[in-house]
Amino acid sequence: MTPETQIKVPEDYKKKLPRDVAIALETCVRCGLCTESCHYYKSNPKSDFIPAYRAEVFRRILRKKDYSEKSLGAMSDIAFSNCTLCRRCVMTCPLGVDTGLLMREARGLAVASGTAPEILVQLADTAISRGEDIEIFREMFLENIKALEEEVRQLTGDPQAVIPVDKKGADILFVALSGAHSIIPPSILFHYAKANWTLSFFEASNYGVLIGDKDRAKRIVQRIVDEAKRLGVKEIVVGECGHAYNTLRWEAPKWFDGGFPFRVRSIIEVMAHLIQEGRLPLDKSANPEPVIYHDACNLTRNGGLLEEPRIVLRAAVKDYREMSPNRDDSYCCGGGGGIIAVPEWDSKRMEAGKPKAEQIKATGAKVVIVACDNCRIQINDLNEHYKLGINIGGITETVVKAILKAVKGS
Amino acid sequence: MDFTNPSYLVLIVSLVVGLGGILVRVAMLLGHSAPKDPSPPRVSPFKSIVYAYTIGMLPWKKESARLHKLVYLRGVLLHLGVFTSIVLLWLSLFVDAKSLYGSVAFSPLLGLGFLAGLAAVIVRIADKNLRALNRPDDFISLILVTLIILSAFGYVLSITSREVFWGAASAVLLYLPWSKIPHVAYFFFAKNVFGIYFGRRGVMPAPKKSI
Ligand code: SF4
Ligand code: SF4
Repeated sequence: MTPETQIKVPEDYKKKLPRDVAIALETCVRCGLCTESCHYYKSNPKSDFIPAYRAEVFRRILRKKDYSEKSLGAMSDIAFSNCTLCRRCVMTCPLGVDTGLLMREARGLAVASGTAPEILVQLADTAISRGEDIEIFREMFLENIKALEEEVRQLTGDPQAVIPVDKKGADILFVALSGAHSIIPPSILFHYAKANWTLSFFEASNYGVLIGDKDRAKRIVQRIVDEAKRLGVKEIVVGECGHAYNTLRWEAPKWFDGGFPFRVRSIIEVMAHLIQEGRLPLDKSANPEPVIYHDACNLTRNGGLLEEPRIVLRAAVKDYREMSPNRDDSYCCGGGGGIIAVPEWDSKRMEAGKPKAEQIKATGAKVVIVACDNCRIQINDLNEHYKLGINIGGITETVVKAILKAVKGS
Repeated sequence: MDFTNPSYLVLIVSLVVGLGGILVRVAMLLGHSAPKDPSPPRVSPFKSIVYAYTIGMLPWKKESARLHKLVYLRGVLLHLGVFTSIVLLWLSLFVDAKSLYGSVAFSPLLGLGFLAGLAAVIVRIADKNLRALNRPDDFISLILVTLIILSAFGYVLSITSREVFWGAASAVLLYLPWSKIPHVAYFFFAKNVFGIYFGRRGVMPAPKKSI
């Protein structure tokens, strides 16, 4: 293919776009008021980093039906590496133009036209194939969980502590990420909360959403939905993953006729609820240092969890502080939208993370709590890159420290 | 109503083209599918839509307005000028508005609206970021609406005739279906989508702070 090669895009592509996308395409008046809202522009004030500029690239392609390899490739690069889909710009636009939504749609077009980064498409396909034949990895998964269960027993000092898997009649299906850090603290939390729960076979992350491919995204969610229905759970609780929470709580119900027959909550909501009901023993002295919380865009601005993390942290740490701006106004850390999975974009994401690094530095806090795995990797990298000298922890892990201190004194 | 006046007839035709154009574009927008959202909302979408149109639009609620107070003010004045011109145009279809008692009271709004339009044209040329965003339509639309405000200003102060005002209005109306001006109508759709998106999630209006 040469850069001029025309890629076949269905004639009615634009007509078939959903109404919210069509509205975002038509409404922008190019006033430029969204300019400073974007962390990319804030760290490197060049015109290409104005939110509306990115959207204009997509609009131009659709307007001119310019589906050449070169134009779609450039659009793909912008949509995947110059925008983390954080939607901060949407909040500042006087008309409410959803540039984040347009960038997600542009990603979808890039996938359909074969110009999207292959690694992200592969990650989505790997998750789908894992769901197609669960038996292949079942034994290995159960073995790993047994080893983690041993750790949970040691930490709680309770030989009866379990990590239930495939438990019919459980109330909660907990969907974690890969890695012990995503499974052990919630297991301890559920143990002390006396929850009737079971661990999902599948990971929460959904690269289908990140590449803007609804079909792949739905297939990845389908595995979890089928599991929840099979086990007859009352709710799905999503671990510390921003885009997975946003997907399961807000986006995916639209893809299934009539939505879900169960509730979806984040583990943060579960903890806030337990704390408000006084059902968790907590000793704040387990977390004595000044702590700040990073509002992950998919949990806060796009997820609605503005106060819950604060309720949790205020109960579990001694000295809670705020970054400024925070909550729905918070800056993206620069690691969202899948950018973290593409090594070529590492320097770009370090640059885009500068406003977050500066925010962290300004508080003087030495512990940053991050409730999203993507952000956690990014803030770890920012810590090294900008020499912030901070420790990064998860929110469940912080609560579990306070529980263990209250229960065991250690 | 003077059907023997050619500029009146041109204006009527332009009105049909302009308003018809907006209707067609809105109909095209409504032709796009809008799937139902069955996710249980945290806050009633009605409450958040009302918020999006009211408190949510206040300058201190928007970072962009806080950072660009002059741009915000300019935008408000320009739009006030346009709306005043529309009211005047409507009146002028039935009576010679400048003969109406008090019509000169429109002049400060129109004068400021014109200055805001002129400033917006200059800034669009001078500002590097806006130059990167501009389409030709941004200039054409802006210049045309600035001219309609100017002609309305001249009309109420009896400097220019009603025909000049109608001529400028006809130019805007004839160009309208191909321009960005229908954002006046799209605005309501965008605000609804915005209100529903952030409202259902409980982001807007912001929940009571726990600390
Ligand atoms: S997205 Fe909104 S703020 Fe940005 S240029 Fe367009 S209308 Fe203006
Ligand atoms: S969604 Fe976020 S990253 Fe993308 S343009 Fe808007 S502010 Fe920038």
